[in-house]
Amino acid sequence: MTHQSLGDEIFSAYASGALSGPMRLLLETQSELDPQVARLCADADRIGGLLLAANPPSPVRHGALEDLFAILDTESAGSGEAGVARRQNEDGRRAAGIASQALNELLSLPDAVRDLALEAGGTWQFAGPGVRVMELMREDGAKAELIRLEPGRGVPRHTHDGKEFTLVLCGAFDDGLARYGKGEMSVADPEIEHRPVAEPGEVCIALAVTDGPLAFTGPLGWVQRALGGMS
Amino acid sequence: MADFKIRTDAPQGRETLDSLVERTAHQDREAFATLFHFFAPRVKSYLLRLNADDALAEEIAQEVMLTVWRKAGQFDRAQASASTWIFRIARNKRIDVARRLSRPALEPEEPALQPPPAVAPDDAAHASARDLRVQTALKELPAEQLSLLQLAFFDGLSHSEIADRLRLPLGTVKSRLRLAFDKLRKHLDPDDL
Repeated sequence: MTHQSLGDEIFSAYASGALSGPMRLLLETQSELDPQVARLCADADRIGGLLLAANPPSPVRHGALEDLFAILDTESAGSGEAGVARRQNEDGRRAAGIASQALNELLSLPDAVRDLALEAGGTWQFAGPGVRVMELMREDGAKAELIRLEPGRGVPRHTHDGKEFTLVLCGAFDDGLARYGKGEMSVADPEIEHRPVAEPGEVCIALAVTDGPLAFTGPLGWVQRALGGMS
Repeated sequence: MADFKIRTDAPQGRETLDSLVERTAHQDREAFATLFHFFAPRVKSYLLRLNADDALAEEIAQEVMLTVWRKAGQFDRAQASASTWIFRIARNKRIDVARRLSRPALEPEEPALQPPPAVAPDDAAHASARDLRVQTALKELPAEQLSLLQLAFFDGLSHSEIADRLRLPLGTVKSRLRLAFDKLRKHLDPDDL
C-alpha cells in the first residue's frame, strides 16, 4: 500500500488545533493534493462546528457587545487592507530575489508549502550529491522540510527520532519498499531504515515531516504555554 | 462526563445563522448582535473547556467575534455552515494565541480560515443537508460517546490520552469512538446522499 492515511485521530486533532505546526502543514498540503483528505478535514471541522453550536453557553461579560462596537467605531477604515498589501509586497520582494527557474519550481508547489518556501527565501541547502533541503518550520520537536532530489538521486540511508512522513509534491521516488507518486505519502517508523531515490527523468520534491516526541501538543501544552507567557 | 447534555434549545437553525453572517458582511449590526448573543457564550465555554481562565476566555471570545465581523465577507454558506466557519475562527485563534504567548517576537499570522482546496460543487450542494443530518445524528448519540467526541475534537486528545484521562482501556476508547464516527460518517459520506 503506497498511499498511507493518517488515521482518524489526526483529523480530530487537526480540527481541535492541537496538532503541531508541521503536522498541520502536512495535512493542509495533503488536502490540496487529495480530495479525500480535504473532505475528511472538512468533515472534522463540521463536527467541531456542530459541537460548538451544541455547547452550553457561558454568559459573557455585560457590555461585551457594546465594547466590541466601540472598537469597530474607533478603528480606522481600511487599515486591515493596508496590512495585506504590505505583506504581498514583501512576498513579491522575496520572490524577486530567487532565480526564475528555481522560482517557477517553487511556485508550482501546493499553496501551503509555497508560501512558507517563499518566506524562507527559497534557499536550498546542500545535503549530498543531487540532494537539497529547505527547512520550513520547526515547533514542539516536530520539523517540516522540503527535500529536492535530482532524477536518480537519493537521500542517504537514515533513521529518525520520531515518525517520518514523506509526501510527494512532484515527481516520484522509490524507497526500496514501494513507489510513491505525486500526492502519495510514505510513513516511516523510527526503526525503519529507508532510502528514497527519485525516479529517472524528473526532479522529485517531497514534504518531509518528522513528528518528534510530540505530534499532538494537546490542551495541556496549550495552557502551559499560555500560562508561561502570561506570568 | 454524564453531566454533558446537548443543547436542543438553540434559538437558531442553520439557515438563520448563515443569513446572519451574510447580513453581517453588509455591516448589519443588528444581525451581528444576534449572532454575538448566540455564539459568543458558546465560544467562551469552548475556551473555558480548554482551561483558559475567565478573563482569557472572555478576551479570546471577543477577538473571535471581531474576526467574524471583519471576515464576514469571506463567508460562503456553500462551503461551510456558520457554526463550522466560526468554529474554525475560534480554533485558529486558539492556535494563534498559543503561538503568540510562546513566541511573542513573531508576528502572529492567522492560519487560513478555509482549508485551501475548494469543496467540489456537488459536495457543497449537499453540505447543508448533510449538516442537518449530522446534527440529528449528534443528538441521538449516547452522552458517553458525545463526551468522547469533545475530548477528540475540542481538546485534541489522542486515543491513548483519552484512555488515560478516563481510565478506560485503549480498546474501549477506540471502539466507542469508532461507534460514534460510524454513526456520524453515515451522514457525512456524500455517496450516501
